[in-house]
Amino acid sequence: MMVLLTFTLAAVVTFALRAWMTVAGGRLVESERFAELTALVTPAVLAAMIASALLLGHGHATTPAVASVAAVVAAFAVVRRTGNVGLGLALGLAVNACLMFVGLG
Amino acid sequence: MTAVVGECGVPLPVAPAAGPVRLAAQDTAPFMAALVPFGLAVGSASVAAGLSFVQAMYGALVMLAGAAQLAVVESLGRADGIVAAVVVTLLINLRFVYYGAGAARWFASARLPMRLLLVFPLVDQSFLLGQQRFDDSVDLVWRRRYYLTVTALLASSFVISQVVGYRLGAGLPPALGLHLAAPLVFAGMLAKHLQTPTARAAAVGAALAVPLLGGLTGPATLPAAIALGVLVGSRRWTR
Repeated sequence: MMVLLTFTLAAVVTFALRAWMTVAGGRLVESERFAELTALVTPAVLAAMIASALLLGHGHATTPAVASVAAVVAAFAVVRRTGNVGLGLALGLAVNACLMFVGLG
Repeated sequence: MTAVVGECGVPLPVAPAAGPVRLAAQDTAPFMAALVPFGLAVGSASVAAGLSFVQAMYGALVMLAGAAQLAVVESLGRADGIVAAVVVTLLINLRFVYYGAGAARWFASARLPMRLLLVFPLVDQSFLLGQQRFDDSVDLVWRRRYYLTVTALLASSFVISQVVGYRLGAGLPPALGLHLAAPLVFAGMLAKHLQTPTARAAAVGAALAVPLLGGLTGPATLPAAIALGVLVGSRRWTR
């Protein structure tokens, strides 16, 4: 039940963000400062989520696996070069599998 | 596209020569290809987080927002709690406010209930395609058909790949590293969002804050690190 409630609340928040400008108009979004601050949220969120996946175990800082870090770096580099997130995901998984195979997992 | 000129020389909205459904299918194809591995990743992450098939599909259909859905799934797997999951969703999807502003312009002449329905499945890809195709000379009917086709194709490919990812998830060997799918997709998305020094400062600040705050702030580590990252980035911007 908690899972469905969490998804429902997340969906309500997501819809509210999508519909905000339709309902309330665009005065706030036209503010330059608001635009600057909001543009920083996406990189901050993504970086924090990557770091928490690699560096946190049960809520505490841990040493990340070499294969995992190399895979993330490879995915980042590929997308930076090609702009293709799917390709980055595929190559990252391949790098991780190769390094695990040679015992660097 | 051709525009018909009205009495005062103002172009009247018309339908472009190409059919909206065919053009939408052509435009959406590369995005669909990129969505499949992402959908597989979300599906397998749902298995890893202990979600039932019904729960996973419910999340996919009510949210229609891949990165945030993945974050909620990860959050559920860590048992972070409802508040943390909703706050992370809010932060990840904040960009939808901008997309919503675009959709509000595209469908301004439609009635409010229709506009609210149309904005529900708005995602990164449909926003980018709409911005590309909907200039002032395109009429509302053409826009609506194009947008709904894009949305249907994106949503179906994402949900179907999640079904496949979920079904395969438990049977896939750990060596495939699908537990890494989330950070890999996020790393790819991050690579596209580091165009400015302030964005880079925000990302570095948030990433460094995670291990520093880990253990001190518990489930609030992620939102706290994000807030710190934005603060670091905005201070750099102020300079």
